[in-house]
Amino acid sequence: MNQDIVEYAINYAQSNHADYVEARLQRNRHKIAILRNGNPEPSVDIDIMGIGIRVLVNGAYSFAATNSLNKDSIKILIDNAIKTASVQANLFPNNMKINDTNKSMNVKWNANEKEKHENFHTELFLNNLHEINSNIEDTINDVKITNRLFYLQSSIEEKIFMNSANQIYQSRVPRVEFHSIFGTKYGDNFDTITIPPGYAGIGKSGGIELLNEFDLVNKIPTRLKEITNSVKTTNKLDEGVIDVIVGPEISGLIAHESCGHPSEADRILGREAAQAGESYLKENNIGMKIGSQEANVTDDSTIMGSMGFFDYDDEGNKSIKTELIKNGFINEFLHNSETSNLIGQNNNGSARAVQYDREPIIRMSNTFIEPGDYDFLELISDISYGVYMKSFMEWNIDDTRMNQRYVGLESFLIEKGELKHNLKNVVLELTTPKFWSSIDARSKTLEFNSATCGKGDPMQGAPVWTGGPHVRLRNIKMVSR
Amino acid sequence: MDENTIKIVENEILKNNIDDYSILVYKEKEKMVRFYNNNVSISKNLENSSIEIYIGYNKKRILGSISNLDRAAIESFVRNLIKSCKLNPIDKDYVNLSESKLVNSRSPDYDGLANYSSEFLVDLTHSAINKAIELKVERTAGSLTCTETEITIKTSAGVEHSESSTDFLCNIRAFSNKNSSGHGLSCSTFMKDFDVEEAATTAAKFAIDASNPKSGKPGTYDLILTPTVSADIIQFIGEASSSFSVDTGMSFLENQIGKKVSTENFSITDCGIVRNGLNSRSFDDEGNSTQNTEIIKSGILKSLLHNNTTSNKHSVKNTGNAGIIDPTPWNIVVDSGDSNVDEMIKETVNGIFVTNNWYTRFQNPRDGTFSTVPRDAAFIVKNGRLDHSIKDIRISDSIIRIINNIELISNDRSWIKWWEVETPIYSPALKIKDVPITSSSS
Repeated sequence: MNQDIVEYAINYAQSNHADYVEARLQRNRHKIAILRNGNPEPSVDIDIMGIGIRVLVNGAYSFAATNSLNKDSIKILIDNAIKTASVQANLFPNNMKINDTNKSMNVKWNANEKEKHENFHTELFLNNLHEINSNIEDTINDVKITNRLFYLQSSIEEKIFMNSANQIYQSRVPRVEFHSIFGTKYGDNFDTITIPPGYAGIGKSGGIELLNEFDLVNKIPTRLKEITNSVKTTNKLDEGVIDVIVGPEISGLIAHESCGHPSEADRILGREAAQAGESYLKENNIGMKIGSQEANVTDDSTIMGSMGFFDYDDEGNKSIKTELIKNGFINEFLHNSETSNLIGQNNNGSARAVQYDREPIIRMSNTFIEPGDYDFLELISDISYGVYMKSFMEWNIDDTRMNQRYVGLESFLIEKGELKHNLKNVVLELTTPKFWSSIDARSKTLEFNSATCGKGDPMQGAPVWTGGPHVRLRNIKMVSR
Repeated sequence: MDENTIKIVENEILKNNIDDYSILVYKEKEKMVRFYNNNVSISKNLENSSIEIYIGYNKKRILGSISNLDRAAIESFVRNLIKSCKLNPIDKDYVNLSESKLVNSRSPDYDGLANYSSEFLVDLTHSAINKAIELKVERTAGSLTCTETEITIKTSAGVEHSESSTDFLCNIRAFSNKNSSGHGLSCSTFMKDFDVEEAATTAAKFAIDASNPKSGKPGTYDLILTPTVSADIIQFIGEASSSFSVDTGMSFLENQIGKKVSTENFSITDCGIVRNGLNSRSFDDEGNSTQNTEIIKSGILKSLLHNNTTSNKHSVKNTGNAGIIDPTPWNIVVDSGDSNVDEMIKETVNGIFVTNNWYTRFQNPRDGTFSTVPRDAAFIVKNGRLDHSIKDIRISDSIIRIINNIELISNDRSWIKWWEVETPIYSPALKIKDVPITSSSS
């Protein structure tokens, strides 16, 4: 990747009266292995590289991108962007500003990587998938495994970033991610399940050595065996107000959907209203009580090895740990330069773009409910009648992030402090304040899943972690589907 | 440029004695204006090109995509692709690209972007916002997008073709100062049919009519769905009709060919090329002609969607829907009915008129159980009239049950494609009987 073309873009835009310009030469490479019902699908190699340039002219933003990396193409693109921004500024005077307090820098940052992604062949991934497949029997616990789809992806994200504030970085974040889908048949009933449940993934940033760490060959068959017990059950929960424990897969998703998204300041201001929606939070809601003392949610892009890891965001700001909800109070929003200026709060460096032809927008990184100080058995022991929802499949939330629902894949009745039988399709459907204010205890353990978070127009699917401990909720209305 | 690019790829392929391949070159120009709070947030101008390459060798297969179009980069990429392909395991479903001739006499709609500058798009945005404000809404948000795509294909089976298409999309949401919002769309392949003011009017009227919504109550209601909501649900029938979805246990249409899957009044067809079809193509990724494929005809499941591999595996006719891994629908056309929204409302005793929705997710894709969240204006229908607007509800049902309870279908249809609906659907309004509605506890 050649830094000269990035420098050219910055210099050319500056000399043509852009008040601010940033340019990002970005290369995303992917190698994907897919095994369907024991047979390989074509492997996939993708190599996408180009430059994205954003200019600010008279308070108006324009973004342009191309994979044609010659000076003539870039010159035309910047000329058009400056011209369009000037027209915008006349028709829509809104005086956007970029935070100009950033210090100049020139840094390199990378995710840790032992075995380089360039040095492996997809054959290794396919062999791993074949091994997983051969460790799964046709029938488990009397449940027939009718379909199997495994997906293992290596990706490398490399950037050269530069802006007119003389900030420069070069970065490299490799990642490995796994997904699986199973069709099952028990009696006359067919089910589709995913491992991890809820269409999530097992993923980290790092080198190919992650494949050993994931231990998919043993973990996936073991997890599938556990889930077949839930597929078999026909037990329904009677509707009632009871105590509930949600597992880390659910608490992690709730942290993402019901706290992370509504904390994005661009949503709060209405910028995503016609696409990914808005937020129940308003600009002046910092300090508002939203939950119990036990409600604590963090977004932390600094976690080395995480899917959402980065050292500097795509506006040149240093990544930091952000406490979104602290002891039940709204504590901080996720910001980029634009929103931190508009709302008048510190920029916590949350701007990311997933590909060269996408603008940087506010994204979560690794969002999680902080762990507490209970053991799992302690959480259960204090429940006389309730439900443990371990995992889910169906979920959704309204576009202000107020009304949400999670339908259990694995749920268990709790009676007199003990786990009893499986329950089918238990539904947790509640408002955001009801969830956060009903938490009375959290386990010590913190677990993460990988996920792809959708936002933006055109759509940007960003790699993130969702995470949480086991979380106990008191007095929740529960039903069955 | 495309011929040269294709030659570079093909020369490298032929040097390595590969005789089963397809090469597609994409060139795309996209202009977009995004706005919120009655103000433009950013304009975008994206100019991208890429090469997609499929290679089959000794029953081994690989797919590649590269956007670096330097000769040396392309040659190196193809060499590595071939090397990787040779290391891949044998695919027992392997079949050569079929000898085929393009039979489509039509081309996709094309209305080049040369006459439509970004400044013109900013002007259009201004008129859409002003139209909504004239109708007394407080604020608007949305995007206007114009895209021009040129695709060139060459395959080892003798197909060589190039075609261009355009699409114009307006997605606008209007908000009243009384806790309500409305949504409007304009989706077209020609600028002359692109009516952003009409989209703004639809959004604004719904926003005003839905002022001061009350929380909805759980229960069973007849639903009247605008074409936007119908399209959201129908896109999942399209997804389920892919033979790949069936083979992976992700489809509620498995083992249903020739069987009744919906009410008799319901028919949907996948169309490769159709007037105003925003994803029209005369050929698929394997160089096969696209076609019209009846998926459901008068309630009976007639066909799934196939590519070379899946049609050969299941011994059925190829429908020209490659996706080399996953056959996908091009444009889904729903047959019109003889009703209209006014009549649907008139004939409803206890119902809800839902104008938009999002976040459709499945508990079990195999049996179609799902829920989805209405957003923007929704109205209780009582004894043949709109009674009051509501909020905070969720549709919780199964696709199979929904399409077996279609009471009325409108005569009017609209093309729908937006953030929530990826496959273009020519969609009517639908009236669905007895749909479970839930709401959150607080």
